[in-house]
Amino acid sequence: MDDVEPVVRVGRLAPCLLGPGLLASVVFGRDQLFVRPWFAPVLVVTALALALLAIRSGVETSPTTTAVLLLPLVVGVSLSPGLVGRAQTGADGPAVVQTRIGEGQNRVLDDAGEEVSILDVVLAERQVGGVALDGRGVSVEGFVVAESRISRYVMACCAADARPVTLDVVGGELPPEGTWVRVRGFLRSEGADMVLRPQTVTAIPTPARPFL
Amino acid sequence: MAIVLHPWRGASRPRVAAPSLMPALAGLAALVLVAVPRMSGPLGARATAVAVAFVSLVVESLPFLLVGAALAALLGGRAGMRLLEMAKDRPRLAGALAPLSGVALPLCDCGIVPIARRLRDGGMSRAAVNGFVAGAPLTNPIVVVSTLVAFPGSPGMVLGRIVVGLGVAALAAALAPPPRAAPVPEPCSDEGRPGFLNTVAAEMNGMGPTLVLGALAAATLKAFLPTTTATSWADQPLLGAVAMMALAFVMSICSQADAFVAASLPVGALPRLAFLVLGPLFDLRLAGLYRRQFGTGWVVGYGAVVVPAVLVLATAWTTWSPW
Repeated sequence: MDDVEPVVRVGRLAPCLLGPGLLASVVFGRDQLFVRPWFAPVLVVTALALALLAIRSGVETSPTTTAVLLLPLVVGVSLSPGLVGRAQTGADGPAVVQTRIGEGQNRVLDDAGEEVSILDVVLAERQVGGVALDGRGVSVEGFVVAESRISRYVMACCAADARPVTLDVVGGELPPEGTWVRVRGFLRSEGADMVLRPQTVTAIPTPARPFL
Repeated sequence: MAIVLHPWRGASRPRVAAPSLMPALAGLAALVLVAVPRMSGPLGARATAVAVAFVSLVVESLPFLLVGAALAALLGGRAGMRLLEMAKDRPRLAGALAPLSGVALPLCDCGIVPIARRLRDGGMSRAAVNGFVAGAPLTNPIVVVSTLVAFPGSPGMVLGRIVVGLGVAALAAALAPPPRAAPVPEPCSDEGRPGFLNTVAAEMNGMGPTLVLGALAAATLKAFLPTTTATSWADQPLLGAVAMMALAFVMSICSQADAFVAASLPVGALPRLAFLVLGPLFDLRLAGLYRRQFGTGWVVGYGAVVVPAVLVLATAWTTWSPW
C-alpha cells in the first residue's frame, strides 16, 4: 500500500503556530491585554525561539499535546479590548499600588499635560501629598464602580496579578456601573482624601489597553 | 488536503498513542472560554476574568520555561555534565550552595523546573535538588530587586523573604522526599539524535501542556476566590498568614511580580511575608510541573514540609527580627 504524503502534519502544528501567534500578538498590540509593554521584546525573542524549534528540531508533538498547547492561543485570539474592558467590575477592593519596575514618567508629577492615568494620580498623591496637587487640572479614563468612583486595573507583571486603583469623583453624576468614562476636572484635597471634582463626564469605548 | 495524525514517537521505538479524551476536553475548554465571556452578566464577566488570567499566566511563563529548558539542555552537554560530576563529588557543599544558585539564574520560578529535573537526572543528592527547588527562586536577583522596589524602606520584609526562604530551603533539603523519576518517556527526533534543539523541544513538549493546565486551574480558582476573601482574615495574623498562603498558591503569579501584589494587599507583616515566601516555592502551576517531573508523592511530601515551614519561620521572623 502506498504511503500518503502528508500535507499538514499535526505533529508540528502547535510549534508552528505558537511562535507566529506570539509575534502577531505583539505586532497588533494584543499582548498588552495580558502583559505590560516592556515584556514585548521578551515575547518577540520567545516567538523567534519557538519558531526555530518548530523548524529545526525533529521533535513532534502528539495530538494531545497539540490540543493543549493551542488552547491559550485560541482563547487569546478570541479576546478583544472591548470584551475585556466590559468584564472589569472592580469587585476586588481598591489596592494600595506601589511604583512598579519599568514605571514610565508620572504625568502628574512631570506636569506633562492634562491627560493622566488614575495610577499617576494615586502615585503622585503618595509621593507629594494631596495638598501639593490641589487644583491640578486632569483628564482621566476609567470604568465606573460605584456612584462616585472610577477605577482602573493595574498590572504588576501580567493581567493575572492586576489589582484595581480607584479615584473618587465628587460633585458630578456618573453613568451606570461598568461604563467606561473620561472625566475632566480638578483634583481637590478634601480632608484626608484626594478627589476629582468633574467639569465633564463623557462615556467612551473601552481603551485599547484596559489594563495599566 | 490530507491531514495525517503522526504517532508520537517514544524513546526506543515507534508507538501508536492510545486514543485520548484530552483533545476533546481541550476543545470543550476552548469553546467555553471563547463563548461564555460573550454572555452578559456576572457569568460572562467571570469567564472573561478566567480567560484573561489563563492566557496571561501562560504568556508570562513561557519565556522563562524556554530559558530553563535551554539551560537544562546545556547542563546535559559535556561541560554541564562535568559540572554535575564535580558537584556530586562534594555533596555537602553542593547541598549548601544549591539554594544560593538562584543568584546566577534570573529565571521565573517555572524556569527552575527543567533545571531541577536535570540535576536529579544527573545524580545530584536529594538535599541538593530539594534545596535548589526551594531556595533558588528566592535568591534570584530579579526577585530580590523587585522586593526592594515594592517595599521601599522596609528592609525587614526584603531580608525576611531571603532569610525565611533559605530556612525553608534548608528544611526542604533535609526533610522533603527524594524526587523520583516520573514515568514519562522522552520523545526523540526522527533520527534518534538528542542534540540541543531536540532536547529543548522535548522539554517544552513535556512541560508545556502541564504549564497550560496548571495556568487554567489557577485562573479558574482565582476567579472564584476573590482577594477580598483572603484579606478579610487579616485581622488575625496566623489565620491571615494561612489565608494569604492559600491565595499565593492559587494565584500562581510570577515571582518577579508577586512583591508588588503583596505590597498592595491590606494585610499585616506576617501574612504578607508568608505570601512572599510560599508563592515562588509552591503554587498550583508549579505543583503541576513538579508532579510531572518528580511524581505526586514528591509534591505531597514537599508541600507537607514547606507549607508549615513557611508559617513557622515567617512567624518567628516577624516576631523576633530587629527590623
